[in-house]
Amino acid sequence: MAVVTGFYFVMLYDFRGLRFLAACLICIPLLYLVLLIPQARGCTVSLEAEADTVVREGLIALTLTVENRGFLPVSRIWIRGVWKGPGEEEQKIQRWLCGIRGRHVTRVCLEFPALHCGRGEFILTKAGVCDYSGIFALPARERGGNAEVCVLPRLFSIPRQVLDPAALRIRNGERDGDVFVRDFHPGDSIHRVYWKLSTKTDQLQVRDREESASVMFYLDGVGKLRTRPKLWDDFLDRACSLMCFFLEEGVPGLQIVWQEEQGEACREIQEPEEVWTWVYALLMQKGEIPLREGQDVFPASGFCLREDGRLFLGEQCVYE
Amino acid sequence: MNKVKRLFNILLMLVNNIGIVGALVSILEIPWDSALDPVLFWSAVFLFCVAAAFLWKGRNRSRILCRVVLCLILYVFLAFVFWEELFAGITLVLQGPAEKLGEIYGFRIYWPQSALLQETGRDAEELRTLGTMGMLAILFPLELAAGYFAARGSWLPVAAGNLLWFTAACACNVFPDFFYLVFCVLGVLAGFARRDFRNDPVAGLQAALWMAAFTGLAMGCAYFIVLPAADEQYERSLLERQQFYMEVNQEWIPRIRSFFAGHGMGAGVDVSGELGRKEIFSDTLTETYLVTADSLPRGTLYLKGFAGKDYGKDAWKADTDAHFREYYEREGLKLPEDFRHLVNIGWEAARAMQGGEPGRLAIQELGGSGSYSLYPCGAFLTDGYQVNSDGTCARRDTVYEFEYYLLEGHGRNGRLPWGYSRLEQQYRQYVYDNYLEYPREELAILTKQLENSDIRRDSIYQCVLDIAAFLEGQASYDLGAGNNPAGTDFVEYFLFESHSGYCMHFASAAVLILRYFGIPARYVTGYAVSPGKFTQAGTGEWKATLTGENAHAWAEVYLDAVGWVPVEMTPGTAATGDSRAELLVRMGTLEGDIIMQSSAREEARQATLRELEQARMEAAARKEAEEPGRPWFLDPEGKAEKDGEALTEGSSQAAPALQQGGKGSQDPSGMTGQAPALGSGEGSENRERQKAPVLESRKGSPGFLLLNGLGAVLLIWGLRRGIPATARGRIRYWHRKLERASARDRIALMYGNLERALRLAGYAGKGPGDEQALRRSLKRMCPEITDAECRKLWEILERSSFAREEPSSGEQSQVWAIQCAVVRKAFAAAPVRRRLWLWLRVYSG
Repeated sequence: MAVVTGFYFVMLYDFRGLRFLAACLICIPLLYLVLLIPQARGCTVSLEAEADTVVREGLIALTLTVENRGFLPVSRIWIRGVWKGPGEEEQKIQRWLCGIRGRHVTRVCLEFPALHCGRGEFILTKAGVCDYSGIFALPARERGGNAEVCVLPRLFSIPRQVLDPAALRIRNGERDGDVFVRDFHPGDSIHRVYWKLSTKTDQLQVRDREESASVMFYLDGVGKLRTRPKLWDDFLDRACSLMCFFLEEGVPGLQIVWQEEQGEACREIQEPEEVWTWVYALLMQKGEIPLREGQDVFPASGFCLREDGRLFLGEQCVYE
Repeated sequence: MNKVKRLFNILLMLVNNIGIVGALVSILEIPWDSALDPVLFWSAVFLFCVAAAFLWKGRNRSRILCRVVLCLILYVFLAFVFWEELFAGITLVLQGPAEKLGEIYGFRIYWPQSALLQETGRDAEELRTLGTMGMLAILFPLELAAGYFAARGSWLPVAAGNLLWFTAACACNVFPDFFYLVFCVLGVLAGFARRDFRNDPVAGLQAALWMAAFTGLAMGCAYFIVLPAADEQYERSLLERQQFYMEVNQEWIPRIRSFFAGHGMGAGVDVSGELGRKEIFSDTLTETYLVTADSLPRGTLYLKGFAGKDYGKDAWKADTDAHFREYYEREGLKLPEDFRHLVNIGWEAARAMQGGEPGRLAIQELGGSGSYSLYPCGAFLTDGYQVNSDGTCARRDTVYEFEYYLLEGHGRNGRLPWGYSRLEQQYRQYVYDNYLEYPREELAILTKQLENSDIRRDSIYQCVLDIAAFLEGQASYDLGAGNNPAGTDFVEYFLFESHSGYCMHFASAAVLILRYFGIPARYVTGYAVSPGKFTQAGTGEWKATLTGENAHAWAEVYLDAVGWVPVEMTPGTAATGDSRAELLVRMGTLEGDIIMQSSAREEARQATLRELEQARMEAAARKEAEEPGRPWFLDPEGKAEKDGEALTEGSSQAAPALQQGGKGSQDPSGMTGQAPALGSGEGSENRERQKAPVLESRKGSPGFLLLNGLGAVLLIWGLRRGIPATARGRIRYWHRKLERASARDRIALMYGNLERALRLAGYAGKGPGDEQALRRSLKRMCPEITDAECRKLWEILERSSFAREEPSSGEQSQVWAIQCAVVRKAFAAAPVRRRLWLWLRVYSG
């Protein structure tokens, strides 16, 4: 419309000044376009996360760094990206940065709420530099187009009573030769009774198969709850809280077992800090998953955290 | 940062002002050398920009409102005090453009101050100052409003300003100079920079400068490379467009017209003063008028419509009634009761010279409507006709009739009746003063040619013949001749470059050349009907049907005691069908000493001038004796009446024209007058006496205005700093400010006061973020402040800025104590030249 109106006026009125203005309307944007080429080449956009991990319900902070290495100021830079948060839909983000000096670095902070546990990723799709008139734009150079953040679960306090029956069962055992035996506790399988020793001591003794100081911690629900963010968050919160609690309370080690697509995975943890390492690997799905060979799906001993969040020790529920 | 932002805003406003205001001045054709003082004007505009930037700064609405209201009160007060001068200045500047627009769009504005300005005898410098002040008075509130939007980064004032001048350009058909266009473009682009760099004004300023440089480069390329190509393309497209229009007019419209048989399309060609083909579509074959005569005319009837007085670039401009009246009032002439009497001079003259019975003519409009009622030279117009001062007749009914004499030139020596004679004498003066204007500067080539030509000046008759021969030798008749290119003159291009044209060209050239040789002439358009067009109807009447092809342009020459007489200058005009020479012969045989201009006439003219001057002085003396205290400027009409009577009585017998320093060429035969201008008129001594005290009081007005402006700025700034100017008042104000602030703000205010005191006392550090410099400054200023206290101060400052908790009252007290000690020491230690500044900027107590 503007072009047509301008043409109409130029033809209707014999004004040389009007033709001059029309010529300026052509020449000025063209010159700005030519200037835009070195400006665009001198601008670099990079993206980095301030922290690799964030606790759930916190804030994910990403920093967009725009560096203008040319000496001409840049009027506008637009940046487009996609944020894929854990348990959320993809979000398209567009930011305009106005007024960047020559030979200057500008940083912009992008913040997203960490709603669910998992892996969050920001992908920088496009970045462009506009000329002074705002008509033309050329792509800027991108460096480090992706940033990943892991949203970790929140810990909460576990009551001490959870540990008591388990501690009794863990600590009150003794060795019988090469066999690790302990007293019979209600809930133990009758097939595990070590009759040979029991007849001698007139007390039922149970024999454990594994000579291990670690306690098995089975996570039943990893595979099923991943697609349900709210339940997955609660499950992970509980699992990590319990693991950290046990380790802090003196449990020598935990052998965490969970179900993956390839099979049953297993990981040995002996320090509370290793819980985070394990959770990070679980959520980011990075690295090789250590698989467990030839074991029962439901081990008879050890802890089992079910989908509904109840902790079982054997067949006894010790925490819900 | 705020200062840089403000500077940027001021620069932006200034650039836009130069562009927009300059463009408007250029479009309205307000002359810089006579109506405006450039230095004063642009300095004031710059001050307005600065004032607007400071008035609207800040976010405290009540303060801003207070400042603006004070400013407006000051403006209204000054306008009230100097309202006469301002009004006179506005009149001086805008009267010309308003009259020009009025001529185009048909309205009239009365400017009562114009007569006042003319007769006060102010010199050029004063008039320029008045005009400048008038313009500034209009601009100031607009600048104030623009400053409001500019301070908020709005596009509105720039967009509105540019739209305004563009609209004015289209309305006035004048485009501003390239200089102002450049500033308009720079202003718009600087707005882009401000929008994008609003958070970083320093970078914005740099960007704006770079943009200006590159834009200048682009505009240079546009001017030197693209614009000539665009001009060429435009000319080509114009030619193509004209050819297209001609094709449509000559082929398509007649076909469509014949399809709708019996209905006309359009009104045919309406006569006007436009030069060149401007109409888009015109149907030259449509029947426009039916002329009915009681007997077959013995010569060609030149039915006049439009009469042009002033030669313009694109058109001949008609005379206006306002101008006519103004001239008569100024010269003390008696206005005719009805302008048709001026037209009827020709009828009376013809009747006196030729006698016999007049013919009767009736004209009927067919299809559409023209702007004028047409009538021939020698017609008698009754009171039903609405005649303008230039003799043109506004359109009345579709059918009108009148009696007429065809001016043939043969006959006895006749004289006009006394009433008409007196009327004609006064009108003759007007004609000689206004219809001899020859634009010597614009027609340099033609002037040079005429100076070296062989055109005789012995008599009007001989002169006309020679001019006709000259034109015939210079150019040939071509109805398809195109328009002259932009930048060239219409007549000069016709005579010396294209050498082809039609009636419009020949008539325009003839009028200008006649004027050059001192013969009053004007350009007329209308319809020409030759006797051959008439056919006899059954009733015995003779009828002629006119179409657009009969539209014609010719020159008219003023013959003393006869009136305006048509002169045919177009060679071989097919429309007339008459021999040109026959008409010239007829005109040339008009007898009597009225026609033949001689040197005796010049002597009579000078004598009459002297008589007139004496009569005016006597009248002034008489008036002064009667009413000694009456200011001369309150009764211009009374003066005019007395002058008119004196003129009428003194000049009824001999009636040479009176010149009043009119423009025109030097004519050795004395046909025109370059007579010295009359004195300043009646009461010139009085006027001089009265002028002196009036002028004295006005001499300082620009400086007085500027002083007032400065005082206003200082007042506003003082109010902004702290309303009470006394020390106690300032302390009270400071305490009130601290009480109203929150804890964090209180710390910030106290720190700001402390930092200002340090800086003004000369102990400033690197900046507010430098703890080491602050500690050093504090130690130097007040050695009694320990390191621990300095450290504590810094911690409090940091905590109040970044911590969640509000500073406690104990921390505030600590900061207060340190701040008081520093301020006290600053007042004691500051050098004398800084004491006042310290007192103004730092609060103590």
